Amino acid sequence: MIKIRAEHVDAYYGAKQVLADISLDIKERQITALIGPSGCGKSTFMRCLNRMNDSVRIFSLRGDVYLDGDPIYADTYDVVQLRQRVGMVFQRPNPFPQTVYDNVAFGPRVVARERGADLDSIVEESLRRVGLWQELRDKLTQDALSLSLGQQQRLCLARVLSTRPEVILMDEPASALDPIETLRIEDLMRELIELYTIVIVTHNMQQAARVSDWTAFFLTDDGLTGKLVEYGETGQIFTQPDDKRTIDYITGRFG
Amino acid sequence: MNPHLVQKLGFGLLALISLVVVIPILLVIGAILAQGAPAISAEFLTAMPRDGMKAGGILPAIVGTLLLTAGTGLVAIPMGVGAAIYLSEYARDTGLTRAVRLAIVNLASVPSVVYGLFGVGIFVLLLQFGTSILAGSLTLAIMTLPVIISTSEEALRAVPMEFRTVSASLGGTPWQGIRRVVLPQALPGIITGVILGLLRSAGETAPILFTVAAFYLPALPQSVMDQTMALPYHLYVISTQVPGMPLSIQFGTALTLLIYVLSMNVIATLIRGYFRRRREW
Ligand SMILES: Nc1ncnc2c1ncn2[C@@H]1O[C@H](COP(=O)(O)OP(=O)(O)O)[C@@H](O)[C@H]1O
Ligand SMILES: [Mg+2]
Repeated sequence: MIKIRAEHVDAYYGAKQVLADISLDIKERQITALIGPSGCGKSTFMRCLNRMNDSVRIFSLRGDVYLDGDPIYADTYDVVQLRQRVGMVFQRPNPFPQTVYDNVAFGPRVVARERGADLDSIVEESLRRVGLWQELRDKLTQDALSLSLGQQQRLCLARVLSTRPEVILMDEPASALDPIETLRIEDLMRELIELYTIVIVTHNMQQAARVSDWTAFFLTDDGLTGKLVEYGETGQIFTQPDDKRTIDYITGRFG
Repeated sequence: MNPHLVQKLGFGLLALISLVVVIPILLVIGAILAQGAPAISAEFLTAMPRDGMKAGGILPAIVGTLLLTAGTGLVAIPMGVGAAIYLSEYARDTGLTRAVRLAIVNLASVPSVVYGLFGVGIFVLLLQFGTSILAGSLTLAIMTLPVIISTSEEALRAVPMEFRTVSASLGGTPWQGIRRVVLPQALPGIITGVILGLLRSAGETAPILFTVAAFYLPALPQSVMDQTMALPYHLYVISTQVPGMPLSIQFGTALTLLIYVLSMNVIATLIRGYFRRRREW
């Protein structure tokens, strides 16, 4: 099953083209890793999938992105609903400077207007899914910023889960974390694909190899415009890629 | 020269300078305290003035100032904070918004008597509010707006952009992000700005001179269309306009105003401290 389909996506910041002709199918309940050197447009591409670039005034996009077959850039598409269905975890853990509870409750409370016991159970369920419930059940009123970085990042994940998403976008989610916390997040991702489709940007080749089912390799040849060099099953990309540039990147010859 | 000595000399000099700055302030406060404290009594704070203000209390001036502060806040807080939210969160960086910002900065340095005359022209005469609490509050509000807007905008801008992005990524509208994340974060700064603005307005004489203040009105105002006495103007009147005024009443009034203004300052500091403490666990 294809969850998200990008078709001939070109992306621009002003006159600067940062993505050219990206066509990519993201499979449902699988983990797709986007890899490539810094500046090749991985984050930009990922932000096209939940229209987070909309707020960048100089950004423009050509081509189409489909979620379950519906074009998300259609004029009538409901962006609020899109963002609830396609959630996002950022590079730096960024909980709101509020309590643990309020962080997880944000989406359902503010956007979906859930209240009371319903809200409590959403918060509990979301924290359970990221393995924080046992640790934090008695600390729900604690300031989220008092948690360790790893806990904060899992809290951010719970904050996304509470909006009941179908897809989770993760932009280098472990780059600020220590190795143990990183493994924790990776294990979590493997558990979560029972229910969710996951797209992850990572700089870490081992991480991409360990965690993902599919790997897309982005590269720019002029230092400006990112292109999709190769896309395939992770095992194949890492053992017998078709493109020489993929081998070079994976073996650390550039990037 | 011995660097140790230079250091000592330098510190000594700096300490001296700060002393020079602080001493006059302490002297003023000390003098007002010493001469005003004996005048302050329950009667002084709760009675009407008598004998052409030479006896009795200053209740109408106290009530008037409280009402004017409240009226000013009622108008200036929503307008000022609203404008700050608009400028920091919604307005694009166009020539117009830059002009508005420039105007706000400049308005903050306009002498208060100019606001007073503006208030007479617009509120008292044109809109026919007469000399009234309404006209006085509006005038003070206009004067206070620039302070509230610029401090609030600064507080809003200090909230990291990232939180707005996260809120949007969860499906929040810009307003939901502002209401639930940005405003709570900026609140201490906004409250401080609001209190500082109201503080300034509470001590001003010129803006209320022609718009609301009564020379001698031994009665409490009944509506916002009434005139009222007010502490700063009352102080001006009894210090310069009434011959044979007992010094103790003058100092007592000054002390009352000082306490009012200082206590607002203390409240602002406490609020800031409270929020800051809450932030660092
Ligand atoms: N908001 C923006 N405005 C202008 N240029 C941007 C913006 N965001 C990213 N870029 C540019 O787009 C290109 C791709 O960036 P990005 O998608 O962040 O790459 P990656 O995530 O692969 O490192 C870079 O050249 C970057 O400078
Ligand atoms: Mg990136």
